[in-house]
Amino acid sequence: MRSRLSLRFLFPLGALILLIVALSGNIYSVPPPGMLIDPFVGAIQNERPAGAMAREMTLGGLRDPVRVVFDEREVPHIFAGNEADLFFAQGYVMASLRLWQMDFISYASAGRLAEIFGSERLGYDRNQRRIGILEAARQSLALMMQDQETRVALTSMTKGINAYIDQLGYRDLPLEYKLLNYRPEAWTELKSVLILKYMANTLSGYDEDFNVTNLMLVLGEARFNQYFRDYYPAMSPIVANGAAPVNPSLAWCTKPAYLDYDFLSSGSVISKSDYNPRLGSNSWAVSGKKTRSGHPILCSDPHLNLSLPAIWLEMQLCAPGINVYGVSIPGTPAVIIGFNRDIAWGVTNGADDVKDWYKLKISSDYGKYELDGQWKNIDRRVEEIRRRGEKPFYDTVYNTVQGPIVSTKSFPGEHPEYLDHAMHWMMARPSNEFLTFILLNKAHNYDDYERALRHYSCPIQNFTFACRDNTIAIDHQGSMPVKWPGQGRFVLDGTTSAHLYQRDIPQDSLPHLRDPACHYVFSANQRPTGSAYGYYYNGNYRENRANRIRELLAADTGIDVAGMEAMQLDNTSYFAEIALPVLLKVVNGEGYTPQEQADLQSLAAWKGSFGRDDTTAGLFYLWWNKVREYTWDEFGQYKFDSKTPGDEVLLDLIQHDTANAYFDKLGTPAKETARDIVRVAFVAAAAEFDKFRKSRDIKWGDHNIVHIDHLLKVGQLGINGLPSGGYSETINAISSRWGPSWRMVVELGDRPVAYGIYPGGQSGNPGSGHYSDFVADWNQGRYYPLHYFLSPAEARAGNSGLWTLHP
Amino acid sequence: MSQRIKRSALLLIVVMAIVVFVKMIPGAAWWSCVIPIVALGVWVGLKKWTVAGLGIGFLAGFLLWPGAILFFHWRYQGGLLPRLGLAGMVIFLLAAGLTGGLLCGLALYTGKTIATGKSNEPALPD
Repeated sequence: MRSRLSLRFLFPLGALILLIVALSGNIYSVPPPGMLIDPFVGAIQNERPAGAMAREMTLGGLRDPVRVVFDEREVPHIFAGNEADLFFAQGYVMASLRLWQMDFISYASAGRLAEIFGSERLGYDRNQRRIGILEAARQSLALMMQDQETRVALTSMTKGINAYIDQLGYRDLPLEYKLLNYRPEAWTELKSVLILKYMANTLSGYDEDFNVTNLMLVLGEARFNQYFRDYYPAMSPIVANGAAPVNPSLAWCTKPAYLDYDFLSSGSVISKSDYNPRLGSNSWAVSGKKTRSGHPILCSDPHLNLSLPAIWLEMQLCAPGINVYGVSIPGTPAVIIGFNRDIAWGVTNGADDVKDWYKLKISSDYGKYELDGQWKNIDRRVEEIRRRGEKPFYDTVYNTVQGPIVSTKSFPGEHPEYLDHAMHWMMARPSNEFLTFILLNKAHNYDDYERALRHYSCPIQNFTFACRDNTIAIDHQGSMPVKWPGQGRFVLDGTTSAHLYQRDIPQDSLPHLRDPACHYVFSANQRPTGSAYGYYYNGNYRENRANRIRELLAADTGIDVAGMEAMQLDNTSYFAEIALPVLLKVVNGEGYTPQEQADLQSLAAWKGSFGRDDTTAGLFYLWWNKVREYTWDEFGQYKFDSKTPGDEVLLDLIQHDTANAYFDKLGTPAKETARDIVRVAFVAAAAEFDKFRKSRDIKWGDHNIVHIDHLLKVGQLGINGLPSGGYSETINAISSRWGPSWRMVVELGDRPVAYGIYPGGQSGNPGSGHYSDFVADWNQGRYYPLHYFLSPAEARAGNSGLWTLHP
Repeated sequence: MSQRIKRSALLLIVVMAIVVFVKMIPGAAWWSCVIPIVALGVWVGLKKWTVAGLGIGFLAGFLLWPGAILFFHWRYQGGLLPRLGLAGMVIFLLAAGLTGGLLCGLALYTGKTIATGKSNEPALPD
């Protein structure tokens, strides 16, 4: 009888244990459901509001009390008694709002995603290790720690972040840790540097050396310069030509002598690049001599990949000697784009080519490579890549004097053309960009600004500056190596030291402009200089937005904040404005259907606006794309994934070389001219547009749909399907997953008056009401007033969320 | 019959109270509430209460898990549940109910069986 009883209780007990074990572990890709759906510690607890309530905390590591006031948008205003406490609190607050995001990006940057996801991300990790981001971060950190100010900022921030992490139980973990079933590791200074390098990687993705090399060989020097010229009349460089003579190396690209098919014997297959160079950022500053108020105005809208949690985190940092407002990158100290009482600054990508490839001659065992006729040893470094649930993977990284060999026979990666080439990247050089931003945060005048910029190295950025004393300036800042003509534009020869870079362009010779006679400066990823600049350089610059900005700023004599906001939201394409009359002139004539004639009339009345509700922009878009496609069809025949000449080249041919051979369409017996191509393209575009008309989606916003994905690409955590105005060639350059990541307008009067918005929300927690609460307003083109407080008491008035951090 | 309903109702409330109490303990494992519920089951068995241990425990968990989720969602006014959509929310709440129900039901039944070695409820067999 007793034995039967024992068996009976063992059955439910076994079932209970089995249930607990089953629900405690992952079920395929589903995280441990027992914990995740537990109402008391699971996902629902991530709906708890974080910032906006009064809290008193005691945190070891502080010297004096720190007050953090959260305003109505959950923007923290941090008031500390000294800089160390300020950065400690910045770290603590950042972690409370965005811990998972900053931790995850540090993993992604270092090539450690396999530790979270297992072997499925091993290829990504190997590539990251090989391009050297982790190594570059280590070396930069060593340099940064030699500087007192940077060291204080980094170590204090690290302590602050760890103070937050140490408090976390499972219930408090950000949702993504629960979904992925791991915990945050202790923060380190290196992780902050890794985030900086991650941004550098994002901003210096431009790389078309193989493509351009093949084009030069296929086309020859004359045709290459005809179709891929660097300078043409309709350009608005940051620093225009003065009295200096034209630099021949900038005006004409000579084919380097070493470049022939023998040199390029391997590597004719070029994979498609996922870098999208058409989109970028804008920033301009206007002197008070041109504004209605008499005060200078600075505008900045960096364009980046749109994601949730948002890239930026808005905050005010205040301590003796510093009172700055703007956006920070979660996990890094200071404010990156912002303003203080005296100055404001903005940033755009310099768009220079900072990544070059050297074709190596190496031994089959990757032991040696040839340089100047001598065989040199290849340096090796073994990287341990830990993998979740598996043994670590060990990858050997090979290094030459030029840089790492990213693609080897054992790991060709996604770009077979890189095989046995060394990559030279300015990012690999140790640098301390944090110091630039720390000093900018504390700058009071132009001299302070210039001193801060000297520490900025990579990637090259355009810094726009305005000071309350009406000084305005722009600097194309970063390490620009001195190049011989063509150096770095094409694949380089790794067997000769003549192809190595020896020195940088001196700081005082970098493109910069201060207080120009026009009373404004601007950047929009355009060429930094005219053709008279004394040094050769190359990049992938965009001109249309810059032309439009110049056009608007030059025409406006009573500039004010509202006007500048409208300008950041400008959806008019400069190129469409100049191209449309040319195209309409070409298609003028008989032979069109009534609908096509109506389309032509609406195009004639169109002003080049890619506004959300515009009903003609789509037709122009289709038309011009078809003109491009039909004209440059020859480029699609090449074995390599070729870029095509720029729009300005095509428009010039339509106007001045109508019988150009490229207009002859492949696969047709007739020999087409520009007129034929433009007309055929119009008829095809009108027919396609008619289909949209029948399905009632001809508004531009019906097709320009914005998706803001969560970093993990979990559909429910992102925001999808936002009809939007804007186009890659307009100031408001928005496309499906790319756009203005932070719009800021600052007027520097007696007290800064500023407005801004970014597509996201202050919290990184998808359960928080502040996760994506800015998105709808951002999409509608609204701005929020940015509250710049002079004291904690002023900040507290009207704001209920106050944290007091006690030592 | 009346006493059985009263005891069942009392047991339902006590199980829920135990879960809420244990869940308030910081750092406790997500399943730790089963231990006092097993103990409660043993006590119920020793007292020879004629109640359906599995059913009462299951009902307690099935009501408590989704109920608590909805309560916290209402209290926090958060944005996570709406992100799941209506269907996702129903699935989430059902999954929570099943998890809580099975956990509490099996725990209470296990405890009761330890004490009695068999179910004392012929009308509502476990």
